[in-house]
Parts: sequence; structure tokens; C-alpha cells
Amino acid sequence: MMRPSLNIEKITLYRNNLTVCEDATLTVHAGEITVLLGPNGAGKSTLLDGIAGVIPTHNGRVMLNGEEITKWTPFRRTNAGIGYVQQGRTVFKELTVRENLSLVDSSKNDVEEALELFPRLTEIRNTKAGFLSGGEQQMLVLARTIAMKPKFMLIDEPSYGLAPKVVTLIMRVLKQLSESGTGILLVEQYAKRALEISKNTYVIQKGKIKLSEASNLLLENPDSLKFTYF
Amino acid sequence: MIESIIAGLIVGSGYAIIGVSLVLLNRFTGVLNFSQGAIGAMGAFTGYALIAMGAPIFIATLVGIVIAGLLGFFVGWVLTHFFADSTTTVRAVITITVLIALLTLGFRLFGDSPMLMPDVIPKTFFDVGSVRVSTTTVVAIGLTAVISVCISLFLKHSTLGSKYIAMSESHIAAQLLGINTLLLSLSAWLFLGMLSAIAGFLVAPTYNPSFASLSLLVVPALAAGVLGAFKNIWVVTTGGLLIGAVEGAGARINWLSEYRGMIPFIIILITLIWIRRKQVWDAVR
Amino acid sequence: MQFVSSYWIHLLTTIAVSALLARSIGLVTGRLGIISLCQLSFAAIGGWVVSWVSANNPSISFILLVFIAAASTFLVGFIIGAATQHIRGVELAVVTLGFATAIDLLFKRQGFPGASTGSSFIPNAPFNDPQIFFLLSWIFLLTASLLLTLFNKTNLGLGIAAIKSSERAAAALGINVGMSKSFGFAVGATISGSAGAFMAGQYGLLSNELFTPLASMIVLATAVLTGASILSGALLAGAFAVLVPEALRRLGLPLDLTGALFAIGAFDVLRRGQGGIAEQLQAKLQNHKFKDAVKTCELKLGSPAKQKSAENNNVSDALFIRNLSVAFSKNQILKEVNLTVSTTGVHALIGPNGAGKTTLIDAVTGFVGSPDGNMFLGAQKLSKMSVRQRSNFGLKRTFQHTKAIDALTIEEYLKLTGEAKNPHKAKIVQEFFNLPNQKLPIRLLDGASKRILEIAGTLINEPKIILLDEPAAGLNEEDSLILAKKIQQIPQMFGCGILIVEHNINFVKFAATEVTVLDGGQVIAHGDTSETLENENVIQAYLGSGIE
Repeated sequence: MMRPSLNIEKITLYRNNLTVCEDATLTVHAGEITVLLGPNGAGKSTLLDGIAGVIPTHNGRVMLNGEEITKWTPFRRTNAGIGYVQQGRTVFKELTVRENLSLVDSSKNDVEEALELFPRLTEIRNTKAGFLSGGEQQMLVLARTIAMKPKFMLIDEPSYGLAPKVVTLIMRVLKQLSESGTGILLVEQYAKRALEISKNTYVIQKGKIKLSEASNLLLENPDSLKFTYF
Repeated sequence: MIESIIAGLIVGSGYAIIGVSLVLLNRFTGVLNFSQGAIGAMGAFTGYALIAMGAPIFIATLVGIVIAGLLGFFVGWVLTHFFADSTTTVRAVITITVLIALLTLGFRLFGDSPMLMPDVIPKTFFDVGSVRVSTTTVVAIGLTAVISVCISLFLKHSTLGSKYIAMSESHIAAQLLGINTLLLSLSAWLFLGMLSAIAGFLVAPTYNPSFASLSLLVVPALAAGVLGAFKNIWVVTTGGLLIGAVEGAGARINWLSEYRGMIPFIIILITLIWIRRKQVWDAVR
Repeated sequence: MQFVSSYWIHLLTTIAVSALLARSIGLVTGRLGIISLCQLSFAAIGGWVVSWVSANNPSISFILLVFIAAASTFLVGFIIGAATQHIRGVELAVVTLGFATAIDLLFKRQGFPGASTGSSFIPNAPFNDPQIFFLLSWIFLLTASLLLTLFNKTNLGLGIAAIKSSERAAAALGINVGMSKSFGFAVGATISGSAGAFMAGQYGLLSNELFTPLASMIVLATAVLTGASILSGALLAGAFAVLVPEALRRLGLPLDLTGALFAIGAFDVLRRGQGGIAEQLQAKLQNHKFKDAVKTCELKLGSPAKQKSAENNNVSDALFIRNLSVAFSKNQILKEVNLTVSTTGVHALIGPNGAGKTTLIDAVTGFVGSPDGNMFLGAQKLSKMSVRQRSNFGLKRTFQHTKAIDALTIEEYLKLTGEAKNPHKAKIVQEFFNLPNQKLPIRLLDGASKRILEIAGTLINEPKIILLDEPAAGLNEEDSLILAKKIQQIPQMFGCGILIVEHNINFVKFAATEVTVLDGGQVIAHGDTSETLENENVIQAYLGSGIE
């Protein structure tokens, strides 16, 4: 049997009537972390939005294990096993940590398992999410999605604005998840850490996939990376 | 004076309940529904028409409430189906076209003259000190309080309530957690439509409304909503009752009595100017 | 001599009056973006003023009465507009509905002058003749429309369209947002008020039934349906408002179906989202007219016609930012930032996401409440100046998301940015960016060209410093490099300094001579472009370090 995969085939996406992503093709395999690198405004978040169905696809296809899901609503894609952790830590501020976690339709066990990854969340379970620190909010949004046991996770800049220690923890958790079979598409601005835990890397510039390479090769040759930014 | 204030409280309970349904709909679905009063009026007038035709009061009331719920559901379906990506202003204009259509329909069905409505709740009087109070007043205020308490408890202490709060913060983020926002939105439309019919039944016997005037209860209800900054349902509830009470009191003040219907506008104007005084710029896009 | 029956004269007069009402909605809702549910309340006020003044001064001429009514409603409209200038969107719609119910109640109780005694208001001769009155109503409608068309071309009128698209961008163009909004609302009220004056003349006795909130809503629905922001739409609305009930009457159907029909029509127009009937037609004609026109700014490098030397730039006009700190609630966005933008070169501000780059532009241009620290443009301290004052003083900016105004043509946009004062400059700018045909509606431009137009706009009215937020967004690589080289020439060509925020490092290399790097709200590096980009700290900020 083929390994489960999420295939994005030549998709083009618009935002504010501007082409933000053009003819992008990439594959995410189960059990691996795939990294999407690129400067600000290159179209990384837009691409994730397109894969999750948050914005319509202008052209091209999104395939989940061979089934076309291009026209599905975000809700349907979520239920089909695509978990999307958006940029900007979208916690529900008025709800407590516990309530935030109770939103997902999963067993107590799954929620507990997700909490074990981030012990800090258990300590603050009755605090309203609006009062959490940035790191705690990031842990919460990750835990919420992890509790749904998605087959694939799209994660947008989880390290954004966080202290190095928290970033280390988050990267470790992502590594752990991929080892247990989840396919992860990780968008990062800070390249090195992402490369260290990932298998493959795509580089996107001005809305186009410019490079597709094994992550370890890029790590060995940092100059090739500098090119992506400079 | 006190008796007019109490009479005002009955109408105020209508403002409060419609106000709460306006605010919740706005929070959950992002629609400011100018036709919410008309939806309730349609339910209440259908109920009264059935009573006039000899139907038992209980059945007629129930049918009226269900009709308003279905009407709300239908309006909600139209908005979610055709206008999911529209701006809040376009959606508000759509509810205005719905209001025009409902007012036309109501006029066709029920005419435009004020009607005497029988009490849905048996009316008896009792004295508290020197003040004469009717059961209608007690039921109206009591029901308003019960509705607000139940909704608060539901939102605060149930998982479904949490889902609604999540949805009010972001539909997309809620969908990405597997919450069926479409189903929840439509249920809210259904339930809040039913609530507005209840408001109609409570108010009608005191207010002797025409279909149009009952529909335009949405204006004082909006004033109550504005007082609660379209968020806090406790302030909306209290605000609605207070506006009713002030109007009731105004009925006894000579220079004011004829014009007390302008009070909601003044409240809307002053409150919004105050709330938005620091909002120098429009939203960032 | 009687050409048509007096009944048709009456209907034709009503068409003119209804068209006036629709036109006022077209201005207030279509052009200014305020959902008004109270236009007939202004008509009621206008009608009341006419009846009241003439009851006290029976000899006064009808034309004068119309002007008195117009002036009174202008005043009422301006006061309401000014008081509610910070209320927007549906909340403002709530205010207008409240106003409509309050005015409805007022006239229900108060009645119109003469109503209680049954003494009708009759306009003075010659306007007591229905035919002449009919002529007057149409002359008034056409004159008012002509004046409105002229008004829409003035800077105030163009500013109103800019406000609808974005108040921030309008202010950054130097428009007085509060005043323009109030004025626009007041002009709408004036048109409705004069319509009310004509209703008084036409009916003699006014009844509050004519001016209910429902009637205002139906006028709104009709205007949305026909697209009354242009004259043809307003005329169509007038015709609909008269002919539809007339048709229903002849078919033996109830007249009150009219409102419901218009509501359904408005619903359908909004569902399609392409504008009302007349607006769609106009758009189609425009599309056809400009079918083969160039709709994009094809940037070309070519040597500029006449190069001034940058040494001539007024060096003292530099932008000085000293110890600028900005915090939102507890979030420190900028910490003690120091930055100088000279008038002789292009300065790039770069840094990872969330570094505070856009906040810096916002703070400099006056969109952030009261930031700590000092900012000077030359010797002028900026802190106390409003957005508009800073703009007029020569501090111009563009925004991350395009704010070009779809309702205007290129010519109108350039006029708004100050072309009249600097016609010569406008011509140079046009050639420099190779802007398409002046008459082209902006909505037909492609997204990238809209952004270029915005940059062009900042250059027209003697700018000292311009701040460009991601100018290359949406441009393909080739074009963005040409734009970079163009921007690099601006200081010499136009004598102003530039600060750009940009993520595309290639763009920065080509455009900028000087770079400042922000990370976490602080300046982490500053200096010559190539040196700074090689700086180890900068590379770290972008690529991050490994897991320790």
C-alpha cells in the first residue's frame, strides 16, 4: 500500500485580488516533517490557508490520499484528518484552557495525551486563554489540534515571537508527533531549527516554489539557504 | 407613577428579550438582524389569529413560537447560504430587505390597525403595599430573568455553549477544530426567532400593537443592545427593562408623555457616541 | 395648453421627487458608504419647513422656500454627521433607524402645519400651475444632479469616495475625514430635504404616512436595486417608484407589494454583488470602452528626462526618529528606536515578521495614539500633528494592502493627491511610472499597478519624505526589480527621501543605499546596504540559530 500523503498539485491562490501563490506543487508524507521556508510575504501562510480550505483555490488540486478535496469546506477537511494550526495563536480568549480543549470532538484520553506533551497547560487549565503568555497560547493551540489526532498537521510559524526554550519544546513535540506517524507541514521563518527536525524542505519565493531538497543537504550547506533570503 | 413604571416593565421585558436575541445573533453569526422584531411579530400575530379563530391558547402560542423559529431559521439559511462572504453591512442591508418583505406580508395578513390582544397568561391582580401588580407583569419580568440566566449558564457551563463562544470569536478557527459552525448558526437563528415570538406574546396585550409597531420594537431592543455594547447580555437585559420603565414613567410626565418613544433614539445616540469616542479610525484592513 | 392629463403630470412630478430621494441615497450610501435608513426623515423636515415658513409668510416665493428647506436640512444633516463621525457601519445604520423612528413619532404627534385646520399649502404663482410645477421639479432635479456631478469632481467630493474605501488612506492623502463625512452626509440630507419641499408643494397637505421608517427603507432598497449613485440609476429609481405601483394598480393588485418587490430586487442585486442596474450598465460600458486599453503600468527603465542632482535636495528636511517606543496594552512593539531618513537616498527597514516595521510607519504618520519619544521632519516636531497635517506637511505613505480607490479614475486619483497644485509634477510622475490612460477607472487596473499608482500619488504634492510599506507586494520578480531601480531614482528625480519596508532582500539591494534592521522592536543593525546584509546578527535574526 502507498504511504498516506497529502499532495498539492499546481495550486494558484489569490488574496486581495493579487496572486500570492502560483503553481505550487508539494507533497507531505505521513510520519515526516516537511518544511516550507521563505521570506515574509512569500506566500507561505496563504499556501497553508489554501490547503486547509480557508481560502478558495483558484487553480490546481489538493489531494488527500488520492482523493480530491479541493472543493471541501475547512470543516470537512478537518474531519477528514487535516489539522491546521494557524498563525497568530488563535486561542479563544474568553474560554479557559480546559474549555478550549473541550471544543474538539475527541475522547478524554486523547485530550490527556495531548496535555502530557505540554505539562504546563495542566497547571493553568482554569485560566482564560486571553490571559496566557504567548508560549502558553501556542502550546494550547497545538494541544487542541493534536487532541483531534489528525493524520496531517499544517503548522504556521509556531516559534513566532517565542523564547528559545519554548521553541525547543515545541520542536521536540513536533518531532515526537511525526515519529508516531503524523505528517507535518511546517512553515518557519527561522530555518535552522526546522531543518534539523525535518526530512524535506521546500523554499517558496514570491509565491513560487523555488527549491525542493532534502533538509540534511541544506543544513550541510548553509550558503544555499542564505540564497533563499538574500 | 409606580404603576406606569410597572406597566413599562412589561414592554421593557419585550425590549430585553429581543435585545438579547439581537446581541446573541450578532455575536454568533455576525449579522445585525433588523428584522428580528418582525420575525417575533409574525409568530405572535399568527398565534393571536389562531386564538381569534378559536384555537386553544396554549396550542396557538406554541404554533406562533414555532413559526417565528422557522422564519428565523429560513432567514438564517438565506444569509449563510448566499451571503457567507459578504461584509457585515451588506448582511445588515439584507435583513432590512427581509424586514420590508415581512412588513408587507404582515400588512397583507393582519392589516395595519392596532389590535386588542388577549392575555396569553391569565391576568389576575394582587397588591404589594399600595401598588397593584398583575400576574402578567410578574411573569414578564420573571421570564426575562429566567431566559437571561439560562442563556448565561448555558454559555458558561456547557460544552455546546463553549462552542458558541468559540464561534463568536472566529468562525474559521472554530471550523478548524471540527465545529460545525453552519449547524450551530442555524440553531441559533431558530432558537432566537422563537425567543422573539415569546417577547411578542408578552408585550402585545399591554402594547396593543399593529404588526408594524410590534416589528419596530427592534429599535428600543437595539438601544438595549447598544447599552450592553452588543456583548454583555446582563446589561442588555437590565437596559431593556430600564428603557421600558423610563418610558412608563415618561407616560406620566406631561411634556414627555407624547414623545417618550424618542427615548430609545437618544439612548442609542448618546451611548454610541460615548462608546466610539476614541475610535478615530476605521478598522485596519 | 394641456399636453398630457393632469394625472400624468402628477406622476411625472413624483418621478422627479423620487429620483431626488434616490440620488441622496446614492450619495450617502453609494458614494460615502453610510447605510442611511432616515432619508425620508430629512424629507419630512424639509416639507415641514416649507409648510411652516409659508404659513407664517404666505407671500414668500416657492423657490426661496425650497432653498430655506435645503439649508435647514443641510444644517441638521451636518450636525448629525459631525456628532456621529466616529460611529461606523451597522452601528451607524442603527442610529439612522433610531432617528427615523424618532422623527416619525415627532411628526405623528406634532403634525404638519395646516394639517389640523385643513389649510393646504399652495405654492405661489406661477408654481401653482401643476405643469409649471412639474417643469420646476425636473429643472431642479437636473440642476441638482449637475451640481452633484461637479461636486463629485472637486477634492471634497473625491475625498468622500476615498473615505468609503478607507478612512486611514484618505487621511494619509491629507483629507479631513470627519469634516468630509459630515459634509457628505449633510449634502445627502439637503437633497432629501429639497425633495420634501417639493412634496409639500405637490401635495399641499403632508401626512406623516409619507415619511415612515418603512418608507425610508424602501427608498434605500430601490436605490440599491437601480444603482442610484449615478444619475441614470436615480432616474430609474424614480421611474420604478411611480410606475411599479401604477402597474400594480392597473393589474388590480395591492399597491403595498411595491416595497416587497423592491426589497426582493435589492436582495438579488446584493446577492450578485455587481452593483445596481444602472451601475452595472455603466461598468459594462466602461469595460467595453477600455477593452483594448492598457490596464497596467508597464515599468520601463529608460533614462529619466531630466535628472536633478540629489545634492540639491533640501537636506534639512530629513526625518528624525528619536527613542521611539510604542506599546499596545502590555505589548511592547517598538523599543527606543532611533532612525534617520535623509532626503537624498532610499532607506530600507527590514526585519522578521512582527519586528514592528509597519507600526513604525504608523507611528511616524500619526496613526498611533501617543507614542513615546520624538519625531521631527526637519525642524518641525511631529508628535502634536494630526495625520492630515503631517501629510500636508510633506510626509506621505502607502499601505501594506492596496488602498487605491476603485470608484475613481486615474485622473481623479491624481487630482486628489494634489495634481492641481503641481500639474507639471503630475506629468513627470505619469511618465516616470508609465501610468495608463488618465480616464481609465482604477477598478480596471491590475493589483500590482494599483500599488504603483499609490506610490505615484505620494510624489505629486511636494513630498519631503515618503514611507512605502511593501511596495513590491504582488509584483513578479522581474517587475519588482525594475520598481526597485525606479524607487532608487526617486530622491534625485523628486527631491524627497524614502523609507521602504520590504521583505524581498533582492529588492532592498537594488533600491536602498542604507538599511536598518529591526528585530523584536529594536534596531539590531544599521548601515550601508551590502555591509548590513552581511552582518552576522542580521543573518541570525532571519535564519534563527540551531537547537541549543
